[in-house]
Amino acid sequence: MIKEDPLKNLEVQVKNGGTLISHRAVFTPDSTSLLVVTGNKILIYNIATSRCTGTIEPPSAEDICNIAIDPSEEDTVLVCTVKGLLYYYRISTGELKLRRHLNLAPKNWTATVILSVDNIVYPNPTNFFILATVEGYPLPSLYSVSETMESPYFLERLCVDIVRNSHSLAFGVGGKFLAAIQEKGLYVRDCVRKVVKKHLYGDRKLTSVAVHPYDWVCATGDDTGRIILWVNSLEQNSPAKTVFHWHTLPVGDLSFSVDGSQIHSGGGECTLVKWDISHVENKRTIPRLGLPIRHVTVSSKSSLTAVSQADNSIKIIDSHNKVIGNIQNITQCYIPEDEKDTVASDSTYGGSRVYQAGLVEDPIRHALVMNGKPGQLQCFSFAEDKHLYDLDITNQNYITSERNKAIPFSDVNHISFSKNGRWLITSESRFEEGSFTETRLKFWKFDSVKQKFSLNTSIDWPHENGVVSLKIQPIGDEDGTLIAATSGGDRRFKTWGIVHDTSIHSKSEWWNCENVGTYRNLAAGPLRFSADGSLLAVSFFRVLTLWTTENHEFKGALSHQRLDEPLRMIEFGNKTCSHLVVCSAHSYLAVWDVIAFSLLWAVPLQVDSLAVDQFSENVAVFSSKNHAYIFRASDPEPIAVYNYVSKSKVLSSVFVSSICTKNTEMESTLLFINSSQELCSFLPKDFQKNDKSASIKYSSNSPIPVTPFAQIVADKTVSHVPKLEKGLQATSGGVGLVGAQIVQAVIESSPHTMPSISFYCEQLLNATTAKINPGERFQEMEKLVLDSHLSNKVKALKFDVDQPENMDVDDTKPSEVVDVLPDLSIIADENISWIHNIVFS
Amino acid sequence: MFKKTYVAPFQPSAAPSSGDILYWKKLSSPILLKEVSSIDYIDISPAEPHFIGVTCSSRVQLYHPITRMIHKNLNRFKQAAFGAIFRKDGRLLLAGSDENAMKLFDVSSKNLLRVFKGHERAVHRCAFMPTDNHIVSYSDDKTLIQWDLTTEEMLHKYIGHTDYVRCGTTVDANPNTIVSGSYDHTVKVWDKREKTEALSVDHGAPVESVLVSPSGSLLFTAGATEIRVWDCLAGGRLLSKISQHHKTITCLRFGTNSKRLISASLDRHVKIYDMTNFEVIQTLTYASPILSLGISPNDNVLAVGMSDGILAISKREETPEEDREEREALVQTRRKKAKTFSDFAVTDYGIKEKSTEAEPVYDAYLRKFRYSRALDTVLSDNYLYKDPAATVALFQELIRRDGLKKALAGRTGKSVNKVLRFLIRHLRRPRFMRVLLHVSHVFIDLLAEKAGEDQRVDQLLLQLCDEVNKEILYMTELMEVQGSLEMIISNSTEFSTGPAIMSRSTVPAVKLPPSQRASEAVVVSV
Repeated sequence: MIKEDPLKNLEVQVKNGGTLISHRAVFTPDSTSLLVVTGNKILIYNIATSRCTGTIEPPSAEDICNIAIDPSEEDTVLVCTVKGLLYYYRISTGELKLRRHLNLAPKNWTATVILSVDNIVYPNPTNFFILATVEGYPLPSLYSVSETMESPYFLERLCVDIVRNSHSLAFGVGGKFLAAIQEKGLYVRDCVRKVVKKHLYGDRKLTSVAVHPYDWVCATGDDTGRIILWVNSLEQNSPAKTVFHWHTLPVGDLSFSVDGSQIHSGGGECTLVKWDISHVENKRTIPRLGLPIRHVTVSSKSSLTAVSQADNSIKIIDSHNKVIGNIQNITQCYIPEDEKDTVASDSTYGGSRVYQAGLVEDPIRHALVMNGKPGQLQCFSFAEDKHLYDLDITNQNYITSERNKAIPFSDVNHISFSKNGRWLITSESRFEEGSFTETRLKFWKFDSVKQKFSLNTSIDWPHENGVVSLKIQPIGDEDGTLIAATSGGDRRFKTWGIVHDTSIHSKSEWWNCENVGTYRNLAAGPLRFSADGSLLAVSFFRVLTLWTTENHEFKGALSHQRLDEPLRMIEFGNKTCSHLVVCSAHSYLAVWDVIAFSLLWAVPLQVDSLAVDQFSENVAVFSSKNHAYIFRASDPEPIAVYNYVSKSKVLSSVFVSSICTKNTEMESTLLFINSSQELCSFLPKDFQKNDKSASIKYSSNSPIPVTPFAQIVADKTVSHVPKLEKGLQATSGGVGLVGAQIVQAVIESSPHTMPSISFYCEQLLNATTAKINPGERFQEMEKLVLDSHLSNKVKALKFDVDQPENMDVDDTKPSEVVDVLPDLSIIADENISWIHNIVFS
Repeated sequence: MFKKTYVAPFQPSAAPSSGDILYWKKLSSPILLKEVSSIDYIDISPAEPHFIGVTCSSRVQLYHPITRMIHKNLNRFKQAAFGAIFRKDGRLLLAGSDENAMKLFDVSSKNLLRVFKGHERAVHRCAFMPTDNHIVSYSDDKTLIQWDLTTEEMLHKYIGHTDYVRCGTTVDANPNTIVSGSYDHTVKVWDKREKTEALSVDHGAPVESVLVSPSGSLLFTAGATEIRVWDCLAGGRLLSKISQHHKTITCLRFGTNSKRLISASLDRHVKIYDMTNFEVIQTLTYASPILSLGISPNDNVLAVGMSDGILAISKREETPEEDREEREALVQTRRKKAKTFSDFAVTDYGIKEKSTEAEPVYDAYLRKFRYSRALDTVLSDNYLYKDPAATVALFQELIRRDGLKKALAGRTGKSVNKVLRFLIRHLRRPRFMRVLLHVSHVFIDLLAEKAGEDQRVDQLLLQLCDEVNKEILYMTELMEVQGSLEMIISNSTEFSTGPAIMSRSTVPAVKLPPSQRASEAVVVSV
């Protein structure tokens, strides 16, 4: 092992995936930019270009509870954190003007302690209001903060039991009129005259409130979709009300237009509704905006509306109801509120609804592909941290939920790219308990002229009960032998191949089923191809079966009596470990040698995610306790262990070609995504995230950076690999010699597809005259067999696992192999005798 | 953006070859020419302008392919002439005859250049060797003779057949072989250098025509109602049998750069096969039994000779290029006549208006969530008979939207009948079955309370039940067939494990068909 392994000096960094929609976006007073809160910082987006132009990052690490534009100084934004820290920033320059601290436990209070600040509004220069969670109260309370002579910030409690969301507080009429919604009704306050009124609201729950900019009018939305306009709410006990009812789902957010003539409302229907407050019937709808609307903000000038949506995007809509801008961060998977984050069937990748297809790297464009909007894939550039585009896979309309239940939508379960990026295979399905299910397998071809994927073949119901696993052979498609394999809930696996239209007039190609396989009627699990594409491993319950890809011949099945759990993940190793298969079940991780048909080692480890590096022998696993282990398949001793890398369950992980070119020691970077929808990466500690020069360099360079160190590594591997690969080929029967290929070509290929026989003659003669010393080959084979038998011994557990139930390793006998094919030495024998057969028969 | 309801296009399995059908359809209906007696042989000159050499009675006539009139007439025969063929350059023509001799003509001057005498019986076919100045004659005296063209010298007599030799050919890729087919059921391949028989295959019937693929690897023999395909390189392994005709096949030819095989038969049909899978892609029908056939190298002319002396010549008709311009001119004149005409200059480049496809009515209803009305629109007779796929697509969309029950509920009288009629008619189609079965389940549940109220509905329900029973029976039968097939396949695959066995066996390789499920899955190429 290298003395200072770079793998040991990594650091987990959250790359992206911060939510843009936790808070309302705020327009700058000149309406040219939009301030968006994400975590503990503020991003400034230009409205014209939808690009991020700047960041305001307060020094404290705690989350921001809300921001507000200073009414007295327009270029200033007030940032309030949950701990009560107040920062005044100048927007244009991003400089910190003032820093204050709210005293959340003033001396004159006895019992109450403010735990966190939830919301803040800033109606006038001398006075602002906060919503704060107070000890002993489940719901936040409303406090007035005013600047007086004796103490700069004097807190005064006005009201308790305010609804806990970011739309429960609004002000208007030049900061004089404050409205808040409570569990039971509406609270209104005249800040100047200090007049307060409360109105009860019956059984319906209020969800949001908005106040007219200059009239003493406010509007509330409730959970049945009604919007009510309250007039004279301060003067009368039963004020005049106007009902606007179009929404069927709870009103998400409300907002008055600048002139006060319209109310803009949005909700689960994905529709922005513009109401004319003087005419109930007069409304405009902007339908099919995508996903449910969380927040609606109206700019003070140029009448723009910013709509924050559940897929982590903000759409900007102008006064002509046209979408003029879209601010999109990494798309978050949307799950309807009343549904659980689990799927009835286990045919998805991580058993989760979020990013169920896992992370996949597009091999050509070096972008990360994963689930995005319902039925779509998103392409995300990890080098530039930018959302690139969406690929609509299902081409179905998103149907909004009904009042009592959400309508399930088809989503993509599995993605696989071919090695040269020309083919993309996706499977999508829609599951509904006790109802009609849909499964579809789609083959997409990359059109190099149009630079986009176009649908080539669509297959309905490729498997009964959904597709469990999907993989495309990791070889190029130049010779037309590319296949893909799927396993399904019908206990079968199928291989698919390209059919070329033989018509002389037009050239077309499509995919067709080539072969169907089963094994002892066991439930089919994940499947993978070996690195050279010659072998297909399909797991059936706890058995790992091996098949040749050339003629779908059954090679053998691997299982061990002590490893009796169904396999959940399998991966072939790479480079020198390409003969090893890493398998993971519920409670163990095992590595099989497919040449020697033996179990190499096994450790008890609950694995959530498994990733194999394409550029090295490294394998990464994430345990259920969110530890990450990086190891080589040949060795149970991990190279590096990282504890608690994620705060939530790791859903999927992938090695992508290296993000950092400066750090030349690693060719690939490990990325993972967790169930809180954060994309994280393992990067060297000294790697600067904002290293602009590096990233620019990267994009202009060739896709795979060839560094001096990488070249050294490549040299080394070349000297080791051939031996092993010869061994691998030997198992797949008699190929590996030039002459054999020619003879096989002559014998097996159909005559009319062959060139004239004279074409082969010279090659064949050359091949037979070439010096092949069978003795040498034999020695090599023998050595290989010996090696594999030596390594056959199950090694001691070296994983540093914090699990009490350690499997007793010494008891583990050398593997029991079911249905083993002839011993390797016999294969080796055959290998030499094939030529005799042909010569003498 | 509202995404339209996706109606899956359906292509029958023969669809991929539709290009071929169009290609062969371009041959015009033939011009019929009457000859004096049955037409023995047709050969089309390989060189421009591809004269059609027709051997009939005691003369050989050359037809011009464009005018389709007689261009030249070679009648220096006393008795019947047979099998006149052109040399590769199209300048020499060789014909056998009943006079036990072969005659060589110069095509341009019609001069008789050589006479090859030596056979004891009639010479029916002859051939030019591809590289040297040698020719071969196939005779009824059960022999074939190799001659030197320039000296008229007999080089070798190949003896081995036991009956008339009525067909033969030479191989371009392998100039040292001569192929002969005889009425003794065998086809023999002779080695010119060693003057020996290199290969002999048994066709099982008198051989009428032989053909060798340009690469020299495939041998096609036609006799009786069967074409057999042999692998020459594997020592005469039988690759495939093609029996698409029901009477004797008389002639074989290659078309489209040897990518297509064409056969003519006494059953009055000409069939065109795909060379990759030997499946028929086109059939042409003629009035009388066909004896001979010729096709020009670029597929432009197809000449068919029949037993009653009728020669049919069809020509390919290419759509003229100026067609588009004509149409544009027509549009221009029409515009000028119209009232809104303004005298714009005709420019080279015009901006095309974006044509938006009209949205189907049901999509407009779906947009507005009016499921019941959307369903009503697709239950009309038009959809029932002509476009059931749209109705099924809508059913599927309704299931997806959880609106099927809403759309089906509250129907009475006629609209119930409409749904049932649709189900009865299309339930058994494999591509609709899954969706329609689900729809029937839901609909029958809804109808359960109303059973017995309306006689017509009850009748339709019984019909539906009948259809389901029929389908179950059909499926059972299919499963039985599949079961027995699998037994055969599993037996035969045991043999195909070793490549050595494969190469020697004469059994054609059994292809593993995709399972029933896989073939059910609708494959759509977009």
